[in-house]
Amino acid sequence: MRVARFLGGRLIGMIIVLLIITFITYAIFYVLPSNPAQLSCGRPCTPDRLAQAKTFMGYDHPWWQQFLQYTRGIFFGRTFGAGPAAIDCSAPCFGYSFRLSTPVTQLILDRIPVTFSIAIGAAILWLVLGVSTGVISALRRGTAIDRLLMSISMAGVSAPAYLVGLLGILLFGFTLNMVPIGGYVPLTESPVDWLWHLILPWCVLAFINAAIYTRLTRGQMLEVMTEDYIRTARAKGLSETRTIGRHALRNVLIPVATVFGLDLGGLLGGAVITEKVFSMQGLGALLLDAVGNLDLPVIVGVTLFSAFVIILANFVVDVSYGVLDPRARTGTR
Amino acid sequence: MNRLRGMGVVLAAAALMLTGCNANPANPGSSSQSAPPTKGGTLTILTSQTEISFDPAKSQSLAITSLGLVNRRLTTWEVAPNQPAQVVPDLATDTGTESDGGKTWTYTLKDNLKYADGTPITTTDIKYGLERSFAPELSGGLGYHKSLLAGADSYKGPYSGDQLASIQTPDQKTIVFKLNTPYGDWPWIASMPAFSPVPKAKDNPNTYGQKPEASGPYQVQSYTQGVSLNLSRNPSWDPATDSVRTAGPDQINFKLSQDTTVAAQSLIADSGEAKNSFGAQFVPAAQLAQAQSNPNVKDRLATSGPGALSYLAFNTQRGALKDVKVRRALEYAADRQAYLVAAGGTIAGEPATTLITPGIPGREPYDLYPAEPSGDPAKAKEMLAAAGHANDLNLTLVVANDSSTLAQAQALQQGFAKAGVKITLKPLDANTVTASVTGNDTNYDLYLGSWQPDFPSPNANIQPLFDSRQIGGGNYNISRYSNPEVDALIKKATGTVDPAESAKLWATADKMIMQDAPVIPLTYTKNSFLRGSNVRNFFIGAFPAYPNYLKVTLAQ
Amino acid sequence: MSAPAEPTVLQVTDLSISFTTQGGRAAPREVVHHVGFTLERGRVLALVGESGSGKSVTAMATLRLLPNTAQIEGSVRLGSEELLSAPAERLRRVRGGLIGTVFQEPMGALNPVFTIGDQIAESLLAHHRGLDRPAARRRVHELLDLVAVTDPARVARSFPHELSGGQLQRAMIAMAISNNPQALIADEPTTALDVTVQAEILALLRDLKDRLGMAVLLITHDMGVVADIADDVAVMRDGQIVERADVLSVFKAPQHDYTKALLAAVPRLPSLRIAEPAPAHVRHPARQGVAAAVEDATIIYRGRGRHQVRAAESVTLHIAPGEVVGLVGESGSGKSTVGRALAGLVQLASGRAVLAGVDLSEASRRTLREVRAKLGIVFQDPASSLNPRHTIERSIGEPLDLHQQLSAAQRHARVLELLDAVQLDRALAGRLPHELSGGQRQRVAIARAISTNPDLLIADEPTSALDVSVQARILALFGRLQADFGFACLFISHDLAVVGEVTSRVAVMYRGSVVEEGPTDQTLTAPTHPYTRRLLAAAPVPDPVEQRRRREAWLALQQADAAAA
Repeated sequence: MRVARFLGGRLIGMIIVLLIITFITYAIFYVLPSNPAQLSCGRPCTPDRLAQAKTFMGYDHPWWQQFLQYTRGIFFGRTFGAGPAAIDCSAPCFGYSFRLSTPVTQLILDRIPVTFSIAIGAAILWLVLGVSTGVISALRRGTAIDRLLMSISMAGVSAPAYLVGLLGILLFGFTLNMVPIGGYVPLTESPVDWLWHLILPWCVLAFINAAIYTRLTRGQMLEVMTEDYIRTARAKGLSETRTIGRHALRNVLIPVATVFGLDLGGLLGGAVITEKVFSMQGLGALLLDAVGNLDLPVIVGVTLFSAFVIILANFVVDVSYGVLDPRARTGTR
Repeated sequence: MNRLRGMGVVLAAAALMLTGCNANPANPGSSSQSAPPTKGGTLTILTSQTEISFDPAKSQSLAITSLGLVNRRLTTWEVAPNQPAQVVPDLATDTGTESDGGKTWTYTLKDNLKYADGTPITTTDIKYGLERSFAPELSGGLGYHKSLLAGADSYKGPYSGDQLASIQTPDQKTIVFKLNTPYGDWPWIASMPAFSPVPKAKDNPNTYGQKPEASGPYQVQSYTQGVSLNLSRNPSWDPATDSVRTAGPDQINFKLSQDTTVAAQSLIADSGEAKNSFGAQFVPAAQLAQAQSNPNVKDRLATSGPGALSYLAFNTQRGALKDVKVRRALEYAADRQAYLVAAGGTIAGEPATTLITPGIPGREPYDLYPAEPSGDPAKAKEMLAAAGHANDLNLTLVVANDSSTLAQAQALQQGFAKAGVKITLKPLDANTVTASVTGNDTNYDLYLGSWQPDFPSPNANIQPLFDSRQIGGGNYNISRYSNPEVDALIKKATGTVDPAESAKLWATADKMIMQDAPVIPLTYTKNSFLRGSNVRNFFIGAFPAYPNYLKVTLAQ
Repeated sequence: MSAPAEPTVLQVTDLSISFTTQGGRAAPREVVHHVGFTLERGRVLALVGESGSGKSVTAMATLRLLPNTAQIEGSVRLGSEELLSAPAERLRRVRGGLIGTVFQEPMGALNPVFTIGDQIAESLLAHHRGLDRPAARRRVHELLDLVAVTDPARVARSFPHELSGGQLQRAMIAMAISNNPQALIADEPTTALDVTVQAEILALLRDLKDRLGMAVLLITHDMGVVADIADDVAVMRDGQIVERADVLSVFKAPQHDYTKALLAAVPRLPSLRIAEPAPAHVRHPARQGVAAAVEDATIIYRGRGRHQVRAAESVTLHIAPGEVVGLVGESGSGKSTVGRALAGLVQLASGRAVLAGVDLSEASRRTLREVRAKLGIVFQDPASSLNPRHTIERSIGEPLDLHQQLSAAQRHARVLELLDAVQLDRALAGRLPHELSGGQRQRVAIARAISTNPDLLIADEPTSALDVSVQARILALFGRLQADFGFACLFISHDLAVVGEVTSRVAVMYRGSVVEEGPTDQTLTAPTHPYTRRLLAAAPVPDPVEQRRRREAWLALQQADAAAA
């Protein structure tokens, strides 16, 4: 009962946030002096033809009406145009891309495997990498290893993703010819090729993101290692491995998990730069393309999806926080 | 696609244009020695485009690129190394028979023309294809015919059941076009994508672009949006009916959404699949320098002759720029040399003085405002003072906020400063720039753009940029230039059917417009492309500044 | 491992400890010098000293639990085995196996993310590889039963934050004795606990020591605790043992001056007469008027959701002008809440809080500001109540700026006067808080609190963080200032002896209510409320003989309560 109310509250909150995001996206889009119908007008464009394109795409109404139509479409579906050329977009309709002649829902579904493959693989890699180097660095504080790891992580924190990606391609793709230079192969098509194509993007993302985790883990580790319960663990005769691996790490992971959840959530909404460099058609590439072509339904759809994933990640973080840290559980004394 | 610089690099490469005859191509861009056409192999084309629609109604594709491999039209272009581009018959037996002083054009189809599924191609299908291009659902393509065909103003396509009376098909092999005005360049218009046949029975406006009925040597085998587009041979295509398409490779694969830099790097590296590939995008400046300095790569670089006009437009309806004396003075202040350096040096273009670009028939070179390549700021200053604007001009220049455009704008800014003219840059998102200068908002003084004609006639150089009917509403008279005399001359030249006579009229219009100085012609730009080492017959004609896909073959 | 037959369990000889600074550039600083002592079966050795004396470092060094920056020299022998040179794996078996350890703050010493049962079981499994989980769980329950927690199964399932400090310390002890160690090191095991809980834990330790025949090393600063439980005493000062003797000798006839001073500084409770009626004796004449009061005040803290805590329930307390009223109680009793209500820092759910004739809950913001000028507050931890980036002068002068319009020169003069009043060198005015000792910082806090000549001073545990000798000086200062300035004072403390020294009237709070109020002498010697009696009986006094008597009285009360329940 309590859980149901909690979940219900979160769900309603989520829907409201998403509606607000849709509204803001619409508002921002229409504040810009750009006219999406113009890109569909062709060349040369006459005012009559422009007006026709506008009407057909639904851009002839005030933007707030379009927002309402869009919102309505999500729940009830909508139809564009009339007659044999009409386009039916059944609920939940997140819009229709006239440029790509595809419903936005379909576009997003097509792109999810790509982005999720990149994001989840990279996230696991950087988590393992970041936490382990952070732990090593903390335990070897002040030594050459610590300084080396910190320097590398500083490079990772400050390196632009595009540059790292490009250098990775040049080095491992062209010069050493070890991995493919880009493209995505679906897991269902060939798991080996899938892995093979993803290794470099994973490593690039991991290199950039792990740095943050190295530093976070190191800082947390240094702090946790001074906690009394670490001394207790040693005093009761636990090995150093167990003291660190169980008592310290578990506490270090609590803040790390929070950051990790949000980072992963953000990445699942589209790894824009990585997808661009590696020519992978994920949600980030879709959004970038849509922005470049003023494809409003796609912009709104992908923004909504990204927001949804981030909110969901937030929720998962909250829940996992309770699992990781008993002090955060509700309903305890 | 759009030829405005503002649209950004990604789109620029997709723009497909054509060139007219150029008796003396300055630098015919051919990067591979002409080889006898060989059959077979898989050609890969690397493009940053994220989607390619083969729907002829929605396409702005040049006659010699992607769409031309699949869809034939009534006429098409013959583009060969060291040869001027010519309009030649494609599905039709000739480039059109004119009557009624250029207001009526008649075409007859060749024999034995079939779609991939074996059904015969008829003029009914061509008429239907053109009719559907009027439907708002299918807007976005090259639509020159829309304002020329008689009675088409209120026509909204065939889906509501209406036909367009000004296209007549007396029989399945004949098609007659009735125009509302004499139009000498109609044969070029008939080479546009919308003049491809579309069988009504196969038409689903939402999906036709992904699986069109092929009339050319290739048909769409598979298409994954944003990822790849694969073409395989069309078994029904008869080479005997087709003089322009070599159809060398057995298979042509487009790899979409490629990062331009990565694509150029892989072509430079030339390993594996890249050997059988070429890039559809201009080579980025860094890779261009890299390619030029490496003899092995330089061979595989194709650079066009001087082509598209890059120019600085004055908003002639705003402030001091209304005064022709001010505009003329500013003509002297342009530092073309610095601009060219910022654009990438001599491989990126040549200084420009005329509106009709090299490679377009009828071009007459002239220079109304002679100065050093770096400009004559002293003279500009003097003339501005005479016009009552010594040191008081502060002009806003809207530019796309990409780094190369900004660098070029800054180069100009410094040149104008020497003449005492202050230029304030207003960098905006590329789409926003385009929308604001082509729309009805006039809140800018200067605009930095580039224009390549859609077909190689001076008409396509001048009419879209300087006809007063092309102001606002999404059109490209960005100078907002209106001169009734020029309008009349444009009308007259457009209606003149005799090429030599019309060319003379266009050349007159060119100078007449420059007398009013609505723009500063800056450079004629050159484009460079890279190919893999197995790619043969990869060349760029005098116009358009794009490789001719139809002739490319692979070494076997 | 069988227990050795001879009484000596652990022998520490000539132990010196020094620390290198981070980076190791400066010379190592020696903090413990040539310390030696012996732990014997069934006996408790108390290592006593003030903060910085090196007592905890010494204890931790025996198990090599110090950080890497520590260098340990000398000898620590467990039976015949040298621990300082033992290999890591052997040392691991000694830790928790042969020597158990109990630390000061059980909440911090237990890992917050594991259950109590898990943490105790872990200690068992670390030393008995063959033990299966159900057996470990049974043993955990036995151990928790042994340390007399109520409902061992529930405690085993609980996480640390779900249990009280007393229960946690019992669990900690259960963990320490889980492998039947020969020796137990208890580092300030009761310092963080309330006095009644402390009495229970000390009783438990004494009982376990006897039953399990352990040698115990007890680290403490509290002479009362020493008197209660120790058999032998070693007094440490500045890293050296200055006196070593059996417990009776130390208290009856201390040899070293430091020991004498230490004992003298401990505030003493008057003898407890639990059964006798109190004489009608008042230290100060009753005063007229009201400086501050809370009347029928109820204060509710709202937690998450519908959760709420009634921190104070219908509390009434009057403070006359110039009167020092003590407010005593254990943690969570609501005593600090009442202090905050008087300062206008919390909203009352009902009732009134009156300061200088103004009802704080109805006062306008402006009035509230004016009234606050008549109020001074001293908190427990001077380190956190002073802004670390403000000079002493600025900190002291701050209330002056807020409430009085003084020129810079006047202000400076006033600050110097105040420094004189709290007996601090005027030269300290320009220093920052971290350059001062804890006692000096608390003097600064007092100077700040009295800078505006307040009518009322609220002192919330002002000496709890201080060493006993420093505490004595601060209390003396406080008494003098109160006499000089004549402010009324609410003195909040958990320490009955301290309250006994400085207040004339005392109120005892228990679970949000005032259960007893009266003249200090009378209340502390002849309490009427059972809780006050328990509280007084539980407070250890620095006299082994007297403490034994009190302990027995306390045990009798416990049993009486248990019988009544």
